[in-house]
Amino acid sequence: MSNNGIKKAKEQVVRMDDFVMDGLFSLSDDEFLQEAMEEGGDLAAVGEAGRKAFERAQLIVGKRRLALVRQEMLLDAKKPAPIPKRVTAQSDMESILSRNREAASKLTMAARNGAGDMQDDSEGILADFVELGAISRDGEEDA
Amino acid sequence: MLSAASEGAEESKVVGEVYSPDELRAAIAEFKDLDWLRVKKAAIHFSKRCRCEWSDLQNEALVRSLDGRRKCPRNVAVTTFLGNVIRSIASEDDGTDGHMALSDELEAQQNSASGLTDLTKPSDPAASTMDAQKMIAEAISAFDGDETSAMLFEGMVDGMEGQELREFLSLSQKDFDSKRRFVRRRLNDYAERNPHVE
Repeated sequence: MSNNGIKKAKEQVVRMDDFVMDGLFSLSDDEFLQEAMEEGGDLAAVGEAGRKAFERAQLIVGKRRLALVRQEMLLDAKKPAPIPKRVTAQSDMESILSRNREAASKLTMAARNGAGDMQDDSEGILADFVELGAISRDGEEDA
Repeated sequence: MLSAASEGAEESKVVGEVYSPDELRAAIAEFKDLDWLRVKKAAIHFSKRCRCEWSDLQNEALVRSLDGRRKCPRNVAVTTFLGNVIRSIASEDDGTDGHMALSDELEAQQNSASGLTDLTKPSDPAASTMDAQKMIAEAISAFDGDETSAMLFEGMVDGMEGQELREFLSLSQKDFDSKRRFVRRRLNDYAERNPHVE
């Protein structure tokens, strides 16, 4: 078939499809229902099958979203923790601890299972405070 | 035409030109049996193009609509939108003839009031996945030798408009409408009886 012939045949198929689509989606509910009744099919069964397909589709979409969330969580877990500017962060941490001496003592003991001094724990405590948002991340250094 | 489902969703008056996936989900959840029948018939008609089961085609259209890959304009009935998504997916395998992907074309056309495709638009790339002439011949065979129906169909797919075609066939308006309805129903019946293309 020539290119023109192929093009013409394709255009004919498009017009046929347009005609079918127009009939399916432009007829009023009353007209469409009348035709469905004349055809004698089980309309309720068609509706039921459609709703089941809809439920399956929702399940598929839900599972895919869940998989994406899991993937993002895994990626987040692999990211290195932000490193705050040492001088500022150390100062913030000491300020917090000086205002909460009792808490500072418990925190240090808990972090070190009751042994050692607070200076040894400062890295961990600092990271905890950053994680908790008690110390601003604004002054973060590049990792 | 707006289905009851899309009318319900429109009442929400949410900002934006397209329904969100959640709004679309709510609208489809309200589909009546008749809405599902419209969608099923569209899936049956177009499943021949992608050589798949109509139910798989319908399912894929639902998934792509619910996950937000396909967006339904607020001025288009959700049933019509799903029909267009089905048509679009069925056309996806082919992109060899240089035409815009039907999915893009359809989404652009859905901005029209009816939401249906424009008869004057260029050819459907889906047609090139199979012998378009064979498809037309198959369709004509569905009229079981009814010459008037075959002529009406051929005139229509050649681009003749309603009034011109009616006069060409020398039919009254009533007879023309009746014959047009017959042709459309025969095409639907044929697709249902012959879901697969060899």
